[in-house]
Amino acid sequence: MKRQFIFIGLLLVISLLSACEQEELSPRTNPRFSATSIQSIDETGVEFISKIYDFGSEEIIEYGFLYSLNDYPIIENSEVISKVGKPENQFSMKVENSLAKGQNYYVVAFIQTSTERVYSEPIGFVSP
Amino acid sequence: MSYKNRYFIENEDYFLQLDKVDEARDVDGNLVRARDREYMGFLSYMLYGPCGDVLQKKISTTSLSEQELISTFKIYYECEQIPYELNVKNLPFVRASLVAGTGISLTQSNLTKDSFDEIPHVFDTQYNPFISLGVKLDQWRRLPRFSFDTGIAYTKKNNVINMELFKPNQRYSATEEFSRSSLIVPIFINYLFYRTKKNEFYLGAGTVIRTNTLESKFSIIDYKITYEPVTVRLSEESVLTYSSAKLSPAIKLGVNFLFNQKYGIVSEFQLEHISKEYTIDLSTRQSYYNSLVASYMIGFRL
Repeated sequence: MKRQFIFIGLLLVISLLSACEQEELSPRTNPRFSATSIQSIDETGVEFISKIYDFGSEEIIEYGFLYSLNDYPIIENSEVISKVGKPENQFSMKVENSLAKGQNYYVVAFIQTSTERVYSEPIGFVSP
Repeated sequence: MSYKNRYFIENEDYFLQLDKVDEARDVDGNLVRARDREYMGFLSYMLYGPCGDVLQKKISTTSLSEQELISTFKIYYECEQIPYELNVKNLPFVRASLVAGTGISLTQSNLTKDSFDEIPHVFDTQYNPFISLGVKLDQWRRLPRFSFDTGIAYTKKNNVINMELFKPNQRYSATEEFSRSSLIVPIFINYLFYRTKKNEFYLGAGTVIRTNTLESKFSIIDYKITYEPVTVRLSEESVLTYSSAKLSPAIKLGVNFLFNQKYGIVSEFQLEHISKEYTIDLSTRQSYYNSLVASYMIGFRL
């Protein structure tokens, strides 16, 4: 019986040895968050919301949304609605009175950290 | 009597070998192939008696095999009412056993030659537990060193893959959380190379059929431009694809503990090579990966 256990042990060791070490990746530091969802849309305005998946390791300075008639909103071509500091697990903001009626807009959520600006995927909507 | 697949019949004075002769002769320039079933003549002569008529029919259809010869002699002894004793071990044609097992498999991957570039990536875990139910056919009467086994195994595991890719002034990183389930059908022929009083050790070669189902639960890509101002674009896209079905070569080393008992334990170490098992799709690059799967299984033979 002792031999049998030795054989089982040997097979187990061979199996474990066959798993080589994996590669190491450099750490990711930026936050991750969802694309913007439209929480509500009516004649008073549009409310955007985004969910944080991971805050990353950098200091978060500002967060908010960029919206634009351009299909790829960036800070230079967009209106900005933002808050200073670090958000909760999700953040939402409402845009009022600054949208042209019946236009195709695009919106992205953004987070500004101490070293970089992070944008979500753009999402389109039609203004009320 | 038989010895190494040769059969003999004993007269009172001597032994006659039961044989058949295949010969080719040249008859007037024509090649004539003849099969002389010499043994039928010997049987007819030796088993001559009151039951000759009954036996003639049987002898004319008797092939030169152990079971056929035993059957013919049984008819003779029973018809002549001569007591007889069968000294041939009544071995079954084959032993069929069920093997219910569990185990763990470990996967190591490498880039295929036709891929563009390595995309460095890490799985949270390389271990996959599995359960299996199989059939083992061993102790073949004619081929006692060979066995055949097949079955079905199931594995399901949640896992996470992280990856990164550097380009000039750009860095991609991505994460995908997924659940992968696989149905695995191994088909093996094994050769028994060593046997102790209670245990058998065997080597096997065969093929493994796998079907994979991948359910992506979360996936995100970070595309970073590293010159000033540094920006990161996020996109929620899947980056990992598993082949839906694969047929792969495999080998194994196994031991059949208590092989001569009704119940036993089977333990196996298996290596399987899966070509292009999964694909990583990042930044318009597709990289294919082969996998080497090492599995350890322990099961009960019923």
